[in-house]
Amino acid sequence: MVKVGEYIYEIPADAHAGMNVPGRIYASEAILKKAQEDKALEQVVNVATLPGILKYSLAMPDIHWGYGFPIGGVAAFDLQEGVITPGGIGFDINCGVRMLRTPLTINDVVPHMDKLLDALFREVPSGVGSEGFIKLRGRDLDSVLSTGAHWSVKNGYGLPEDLAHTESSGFMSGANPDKVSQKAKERGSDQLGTLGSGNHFLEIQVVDELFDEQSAKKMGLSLGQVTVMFHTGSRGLGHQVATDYIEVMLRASKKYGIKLVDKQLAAAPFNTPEGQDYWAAMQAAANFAWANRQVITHYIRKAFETVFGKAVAENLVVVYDVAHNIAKIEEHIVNGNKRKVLVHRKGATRAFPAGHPEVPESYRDIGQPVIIPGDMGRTSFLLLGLEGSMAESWGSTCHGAGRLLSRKEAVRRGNYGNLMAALAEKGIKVKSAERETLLEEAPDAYKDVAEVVLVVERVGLSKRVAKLRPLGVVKG
Amino acid sequence: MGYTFVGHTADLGVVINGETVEELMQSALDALRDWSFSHLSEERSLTSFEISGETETDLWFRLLNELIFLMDKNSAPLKLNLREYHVGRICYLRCDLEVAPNSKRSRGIKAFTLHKFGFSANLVFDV
Repeated sequence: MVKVGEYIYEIPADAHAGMNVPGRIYASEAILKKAQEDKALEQVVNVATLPGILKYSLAMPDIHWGYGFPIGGVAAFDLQEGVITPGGIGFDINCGVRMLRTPLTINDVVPHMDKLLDALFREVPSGVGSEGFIKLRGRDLDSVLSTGAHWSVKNGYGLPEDLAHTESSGFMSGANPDKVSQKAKERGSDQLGTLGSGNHFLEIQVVDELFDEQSAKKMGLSLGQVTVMFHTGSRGLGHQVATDYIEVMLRASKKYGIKLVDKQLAAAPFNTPEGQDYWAAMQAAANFAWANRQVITHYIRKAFETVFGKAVAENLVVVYDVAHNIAKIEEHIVNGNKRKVLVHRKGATRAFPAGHPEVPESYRDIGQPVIIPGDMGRTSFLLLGLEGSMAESWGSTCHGAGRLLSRKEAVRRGNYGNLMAALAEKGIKVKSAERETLLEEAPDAYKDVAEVVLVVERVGLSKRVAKLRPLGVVKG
Repeated sequence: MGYTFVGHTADLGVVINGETVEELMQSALDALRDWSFSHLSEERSLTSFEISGETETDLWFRLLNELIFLMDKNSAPLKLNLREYHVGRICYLRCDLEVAPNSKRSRGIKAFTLHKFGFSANLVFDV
């Protein structure tokens, strides 16, 4: 491991047999030390051995041990020589975060927080096994898989302007529902509009600090303003797509002679039937996730209407929606030439800079908003993509705080009463389906997200615009 | 026979024990159920699986993912009866599974990952 710059560490390509490119980790010393305790850095090396990988196997500062790629892993592959791998995308395809702004201030909301959390808990089903209010069958489900958030808006779950503030406008055009198994469709059929469990959440937050007032203003944000942030993905449907295609990829790896240093990186060359089938199914699952976040947005508006009335609900505006488990074909500069590459982001967020054509017009002069959730007891951040991300990280930045403790260890160390008391002392109210989930997701189980975003800002991948403090939390 | 949960930063690791393949599978099933369900219903039903694959790993991968699929529908796996288990040029298994439908889950498991999957054995020598 070589330190090549402030907060940048490199594993040279000749450090381990089979590496095609060097590994590069963006981290502070403390973050790097933590990453060395498990297999996360070994996973950076493993990714570097995949065929057709370009420039670097990258890891963001929220790096931790994941499946195949580390969480926080980014890699781009040549479209002809490269591969696609579910291990570089994750089981929760298009897991992501959406942020809404409200016209309310902290003083408007805090007196009604119990009522608001009750309404949100009722309108946005959370927890394992929870079912949504929409039952999708046959063509409707296929339509969701083909058109993503557009299906939601077309069917009355949101506004056309929501789509403009969603990454990829809320759908990927190469989705093919026929490449999604019946089992996956069955798992997803009752789950549209549900939050799920584990680290998925819905938070009422307040804008607590501004680092860039002008950009914040451009996004309609000011100090003391109440916002909503939620984190969820493609639910059981995406999990099943990943499971189905891991088997396909294991066979494909053998068929195409891909030498795997880790079975979790089972892959197929992108331009093969297996690679293309997974690509089409992954896009379908990604579309399901965008439809899900769009439907949840509708029900959040409904909950706000119950508590604050129609005028407030109508002024809940989508600030942005980002995916952080996904693969995309994007244009980047490679060896001085602009070309299309397949970027895998596994626990990493797209962070395109100002001027990029894929940044919505309303934000084109400031850059793409990047939403970085922290933990339920500290803070989350709103960032903007910077030019450095295009040069350094395939237009990518971090995605969150990153776990510090295993769930088991978090529960072992935690105490429900103490956790609730600590949160109450900070003025944070919590509504949760399960007590144990809260202990697993306790603030101490996560790195401090403030340190993570500081690193990505220092290396020029993205910059802080606002710090958001939780006021109310809904957990599955 | 039994299981132990082991730490993993983001996921859930389990070490399972058993003297036969059936016992190992039962231990895996017990771990999945105990982690996921907070209440088992009084209802009972029986389901059967026939699984084939190229390797023994395929059998485990497919069986565990079948269990996860059932659990996603709130059916808690209770007792596995392994009727056939063959590992050779073609691998297959046939089993019956007793489940408690409409049970209450408190935690979810997305998928079986193959990460660190393997078998070990305890050996004691008389010296």
